[in-house]
Amino acid sequence: VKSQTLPEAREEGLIVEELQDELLVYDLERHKAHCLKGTTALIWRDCDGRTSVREITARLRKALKTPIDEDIVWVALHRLGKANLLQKRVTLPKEIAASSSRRDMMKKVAALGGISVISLVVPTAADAASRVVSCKHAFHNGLPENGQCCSNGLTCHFPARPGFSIPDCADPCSTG
Amino acid sequence: MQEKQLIQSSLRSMMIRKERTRRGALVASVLKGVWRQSPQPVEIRLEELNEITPLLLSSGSGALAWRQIQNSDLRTAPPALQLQQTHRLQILQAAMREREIAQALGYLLSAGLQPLLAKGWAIGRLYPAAGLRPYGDVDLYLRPEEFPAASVTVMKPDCPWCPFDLHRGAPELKERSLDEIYARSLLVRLGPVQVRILGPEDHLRLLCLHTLGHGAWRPLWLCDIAVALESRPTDFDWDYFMKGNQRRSEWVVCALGLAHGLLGARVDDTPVASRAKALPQWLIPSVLRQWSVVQTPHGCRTAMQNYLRNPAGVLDALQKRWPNPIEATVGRGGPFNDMPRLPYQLGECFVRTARFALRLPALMRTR
Repeated sequence: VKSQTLPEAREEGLIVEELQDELLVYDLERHKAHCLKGTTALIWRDCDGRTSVREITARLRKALKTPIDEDIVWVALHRLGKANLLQKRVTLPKEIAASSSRRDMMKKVAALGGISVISLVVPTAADAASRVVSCKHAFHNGLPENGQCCSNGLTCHFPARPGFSIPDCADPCSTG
Repeated sequence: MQEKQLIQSSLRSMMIRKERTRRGALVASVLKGVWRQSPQPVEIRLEELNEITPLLLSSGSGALAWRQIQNSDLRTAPPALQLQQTHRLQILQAAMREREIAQALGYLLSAGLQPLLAKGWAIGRLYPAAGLRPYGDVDLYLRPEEFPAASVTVMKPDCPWCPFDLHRGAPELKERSLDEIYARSLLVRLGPVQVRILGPEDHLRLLCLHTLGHGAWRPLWLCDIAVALESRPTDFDWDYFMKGNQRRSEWVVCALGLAHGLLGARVDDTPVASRAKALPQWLIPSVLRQWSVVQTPHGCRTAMQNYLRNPAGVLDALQKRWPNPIEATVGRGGPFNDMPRLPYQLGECFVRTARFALRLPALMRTR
């Protein structure tokens, strides 16, 4: 199984942005955002469906100029699969899953700066204004009825009528 | 006895105002020069960052603040990590929104419409990195004759989704003709499409008037003014920028002055430098006090008519709607001078109440 596994990164339905030492990935299907830190980002980039885990490990050793165990790459692939960033999930080989030296491996992982896939909470609270906007947009796209969800957790408290001007539209949508 | 209570109450009120001004000044200090390629390092203590992080996040300035904090010793502190997360998310949101805008605008363009893009993406592109400036809606300014067709087009089921906010003409720039605005507009690339954005003079004027019209409650808006001001082209036409109603032009200079006074925007190389530096005494403290509390955007408040049947909370709602001195001055068309603002605030309150009362019969019928 180990030698036959050719992990392949998902490409469809993802937005990927590179940021200094990490990769930001947004899953458009699941509306989940992930942040891949350095080593994990490198591993994910190498998942082209033609490269084996052993080869990925060799590439990683070369790129980081550090001795790296194949087990670490397996763990990273497992996490990437769990985050739905691979075409197919990777099953951890039995000897790794049942490894008694898991703690040792985690130490090695930590020494590499971690291999975590951080999931980000969406949407951001920073965009305060967008909530208002969504209400306006709801009105642009067919007037909502009383109690209908405008979007972003806001509810329409007002039976909308044709002829309402856009500034009025923002008012009836609220969290209340 | 009553006199003593009065003194105590006014002392308490003074203390609160002082405290709010201090907190607002902390927000301003973090955002000073943040739109530049190499902002100056910020000096802030952990407890201060803790105190203002909710304010930065709720006003859309979190990513900009991270830009400042990431090079400080506080970069691994919990509030800094919150700012970093916001920055990451905004980078992704910017990429997504760009796709949405490009697709939807492409659709509008193919329908023969010629909208002008302003604020949001149009100003976000001037910041030194993606994701620093969040944008919610996409403001499209249309010729009045195109507006009905545009309203229909964005509602078509095959129109790609985009949170458009359509404007009939450019009411904030009412002193200019739309032909003039279009003639000065710029064509810029947004993914696969060429979009038309406001020219630098019109855009800066619009940003200033929009900021003041909303009482300057978001520090981000002053950053927008600063970035637009400092990235203006060398042939920026100041005469055209100042053209129009004199009072409104004075407001615009006040907005530039606020960006200078609070965030350090460079005005010295502009013909309005001396006027921008001579702000009325009340203006900066008034903005700082607004920045010191988490504000609810107008459209996210519970509608006033909701309190007709359930009056609990009406006092709180009225307090939230009390116009700040800036929006009251703009709302009543007053001058920005050193005279007291209370008359404008009372006037604005009266006008709003009257408008609500006029709508009341219709509201009652529809409930």
